[in-house]
Amino acid sequence: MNAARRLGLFLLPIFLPWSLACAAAGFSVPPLSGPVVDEAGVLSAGAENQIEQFIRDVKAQSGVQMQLLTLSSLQNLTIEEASLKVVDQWKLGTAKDDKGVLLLIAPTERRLRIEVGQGLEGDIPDAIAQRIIREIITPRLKAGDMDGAAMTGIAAIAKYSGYQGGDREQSQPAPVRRKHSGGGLEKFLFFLFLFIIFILPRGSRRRSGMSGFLLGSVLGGMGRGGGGGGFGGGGGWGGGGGGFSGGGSSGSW
Amino acid sequence: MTLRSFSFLALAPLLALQLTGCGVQSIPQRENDVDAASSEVTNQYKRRADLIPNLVNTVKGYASHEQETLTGVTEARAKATAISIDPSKATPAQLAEYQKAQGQLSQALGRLMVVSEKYPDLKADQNFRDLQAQLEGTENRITVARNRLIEAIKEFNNLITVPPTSWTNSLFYKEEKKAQWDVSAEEKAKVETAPEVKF
Repeated sequence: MNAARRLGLFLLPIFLPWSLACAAAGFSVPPLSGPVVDEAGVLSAGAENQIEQFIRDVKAQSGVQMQLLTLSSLQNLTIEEASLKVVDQWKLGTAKDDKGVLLLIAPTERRLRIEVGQGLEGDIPDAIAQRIIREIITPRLKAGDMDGAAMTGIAAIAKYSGYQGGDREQSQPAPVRRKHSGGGLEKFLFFLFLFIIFILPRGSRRRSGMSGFLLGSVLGGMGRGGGGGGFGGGGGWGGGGGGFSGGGSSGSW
Repeated sequence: MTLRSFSFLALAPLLALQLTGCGVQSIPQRENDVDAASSEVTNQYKRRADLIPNLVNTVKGYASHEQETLTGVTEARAKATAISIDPSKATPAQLAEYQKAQGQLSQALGRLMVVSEKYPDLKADQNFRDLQAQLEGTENRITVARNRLIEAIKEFNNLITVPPTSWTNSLFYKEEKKAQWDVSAEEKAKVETAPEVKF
């Protein structure tokens, strides 16, 4: 025991920096807290709110999930690598139609990228993404107008992805989210049902190991099944499993 | 008595469930993933090859006396499209040949892009800019698709070589390890020195 502890004390200074170095090596994607993640802190609060509201409107109307992200550092990755890591984790858009778009701005490296989801590659081909960057966003970035660049950029992306701003005739009812809203009650009823079936009849007797095992595996299965397609972050904002294959365009200013 | 027979009945599907953890399902699933990832790679290479005639014609309009570079691209494209393989079933030698041809096309395209920098009119041409954006996008897609294929092959090879799933493989499937994609030496040099495309 004593020897083991001594060995541990001896190894600790060797392994601790090593594990810290390993942890630092990976690019860390910030949490998806809302439609605008201003990690670099370059947007004004007013612009952030305005863009956030706009993105929510667009999502409700056309189902396209746009996302704005500013990063204070790309951590030695290229903007393409960083952007792909972000969308691989956030999974913007739904698994069914993959309609997610990320506008990533890295002010330190002066690089930006529009990452287009698989379902939007027809609406926003690379050439269009490049034009939005070159003609709409970068002139404003060069002028130092970060708010304006983000706002007009997001608006341009929305326009190409089929959003008719303010046209109420085109607007559809907000997407039904029954699947998620009723989840709590449904789950509770299901557990209650299981409880009645498996536990109550044997309550007086010794509880059978088999039923406990069954119950355990069913409950385990439930937990696993419920994991996918959740809504992360605050305010009901999160990815729905959208796929990206590297479409879009990058630029610098 | 009845309780005991019930227990055995319940046990059978549970045992089957336990087996699924040993690769019975995951080996064929991962193999399908590899197939899907490899068609994505060939798909994106094809997409790049389809862009080239248009690009060459556009450059020709402004820089007709860069004949050598232009023919270089056209020839490399012809060679690359002549080799079509199914990367998930190819032998390492076939794979190397395919990758070499695509790598040479990448280099030829790189030279064309360097040459085009000398022609301001060409660079200002909207059609050329669009094609350039498409080409960059496709190159990025190729990178992504290749990384995903490499990852998929790694997962598959892990399943069939690392116990306990490797035992399932030797019992039922008898799959061979798949040839892993690699970046060739000249490509590595190119990747390391590749300048960021600037506008």
